Amino acid sequence: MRQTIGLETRSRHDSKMTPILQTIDLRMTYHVGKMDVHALRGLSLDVDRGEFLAIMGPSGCGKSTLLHLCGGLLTPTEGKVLVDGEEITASSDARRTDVRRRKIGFVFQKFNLFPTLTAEGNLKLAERIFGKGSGDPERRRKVFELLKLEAKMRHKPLELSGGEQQRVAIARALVNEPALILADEPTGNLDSENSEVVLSMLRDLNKQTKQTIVMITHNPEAAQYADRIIHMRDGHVVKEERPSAPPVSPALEGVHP
Amino acid sequence: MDSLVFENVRHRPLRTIISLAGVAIGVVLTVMTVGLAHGMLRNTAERQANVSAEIMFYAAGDFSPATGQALGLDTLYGTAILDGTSRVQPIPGVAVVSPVAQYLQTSVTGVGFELVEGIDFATYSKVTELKIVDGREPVGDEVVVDRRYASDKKDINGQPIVLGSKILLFGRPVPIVGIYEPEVGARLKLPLDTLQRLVVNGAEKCSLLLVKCKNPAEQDTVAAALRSTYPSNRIVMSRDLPSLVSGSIGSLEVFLKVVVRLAAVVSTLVILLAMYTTIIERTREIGVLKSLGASKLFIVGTIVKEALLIAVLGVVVGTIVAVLGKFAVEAATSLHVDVELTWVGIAAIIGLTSSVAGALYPAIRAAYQDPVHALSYE
Repeated sequence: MRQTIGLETRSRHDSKMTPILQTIDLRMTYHVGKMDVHALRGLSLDVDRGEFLAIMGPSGCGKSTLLHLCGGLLTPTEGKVLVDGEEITASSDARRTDVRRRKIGFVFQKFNLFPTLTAEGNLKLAERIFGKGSGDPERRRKVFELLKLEAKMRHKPLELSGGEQQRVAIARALVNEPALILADEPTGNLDSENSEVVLSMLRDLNKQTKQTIVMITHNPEAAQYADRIIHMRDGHVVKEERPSAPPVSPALEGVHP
Repeated sequence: MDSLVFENVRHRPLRTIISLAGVAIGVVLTVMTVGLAHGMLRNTAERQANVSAEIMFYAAGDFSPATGQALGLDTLYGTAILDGTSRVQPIPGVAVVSPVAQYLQTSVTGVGFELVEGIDFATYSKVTELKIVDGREPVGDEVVVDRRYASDKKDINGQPIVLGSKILLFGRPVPIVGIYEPEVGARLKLPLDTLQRLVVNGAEKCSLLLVKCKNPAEQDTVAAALRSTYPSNRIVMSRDLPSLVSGSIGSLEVFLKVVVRLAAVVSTLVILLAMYTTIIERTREIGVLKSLGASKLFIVGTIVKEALLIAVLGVVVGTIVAVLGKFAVEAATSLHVDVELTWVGIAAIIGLTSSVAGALYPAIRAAYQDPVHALSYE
């Protein structure tokens, strides 16, 4: 069963343009002991290129499962996921890994930086996995500059604040120029001040570089930074809305003019 | 160097040291055991090569040319073999008979043992190449040593050995009055009667007789006559010593193989345990690698490279310890350790391959982890 949200999205942008992310009748059932838990119940969704989409919903509604399926970290029970036109659900693990490497950047709630590496080392690792060898120093410098992290390149994660760590995590996700960034509660471990900084940076990235972002959040204020918000419940999309304008916070002044 | 691998090794110094020690122990075990075995065999062969007597005549019982024996042989046998006694006829074809008393004492340092020989210098120099090259023959409670002993050991005051230096023998200071060459038999040589006085209260006893034939071509005839006259005694031909040593090498090789395999097992298990613990500890990081698009091969490679780095460090440390161990053992004991490049190489290969083998299971396990499960690991 196809939901209408994707069609509406396409009409809002260029109807001829292929969505960067498509899920078609996506179903996911977990077997917990003798019980079947239906995390997704036929969810279809299109995300356009350059879109900033927020997914909201209560715990257990299937948000994280959806994100993991979109990133090829899980295989659905039924349905399809297409990333930049490539179907990843029917692919081998190696193929999904390849698509993830080339097209997707992840940002996690707990930052998930490698604690033994510096901020720049974390980016270099992502570049090496991508296959860029020792990477592109100029690209790294630009990404750090974009995220106001030039002075923190040589710092290890434990020497950085939560907000800075998350910005490094965003930099790591960006360094290989992915088609799509999947952010799983990126402000879930941050105070409100740092949350605003990170969300503002994500929004600016989206606006300035047309970077497509799909963000899961519990926080309605965080969702306001997106172009579109979808609400999930019990494995379905139950509501879609478009925020009028993102909040402006004095906390951002001086950090992100 | 891969910075993730390098930083991971640096990040957990205790784990790295323990893993490294596991590999190093394997290297030391291999290099030292093989070195000790080969060193002792080589030294025995070299020293035996300087004995020109064709026949060795022992008391009944076990034959053990490399170690000291109780002075179970009556020196009168020597007179009997050479000149005849009231009991037996002399053995025709014998040129010289030299009695040798051997005694194994605890090393001066307290580590290992030292073989001391009591010899009759007049006859001993005729059945071997021995010559006093510095000083003089010992008389009474005096001793002569070979050149290597003089250069490697210290006197009772910890000073380098020179003529007149005293060393501890049978619990008393004994002066060194001469240096002999070439190396033959025990490094420490006393007059035969002195050793008999100290060990068997002056009884005319020895450990073996070195028998030199008038004509080496007749040594079989002489040996046959000896066997016929003294059937209960043990007679060993000098020319058979290489095959006797080879025989002992055969069983030694089996022992060495066991040691080498043991070293490989130790290295494998230590690395396996260390890397297994590592991947459990880094489950979340493995999930992150997967989310970044790291292939299974990349993850396996990262973990194996980490094990290899530890193994390389372990091999280097193990080799250094083995070389230091060689000098320590040789300084503290009369044992010889040959640190052979070939065996250092073999130990290195064993250390590296067993480390890779030990890391493979944890690495493959990590590569096949469910990324979502790994990312949610606390």
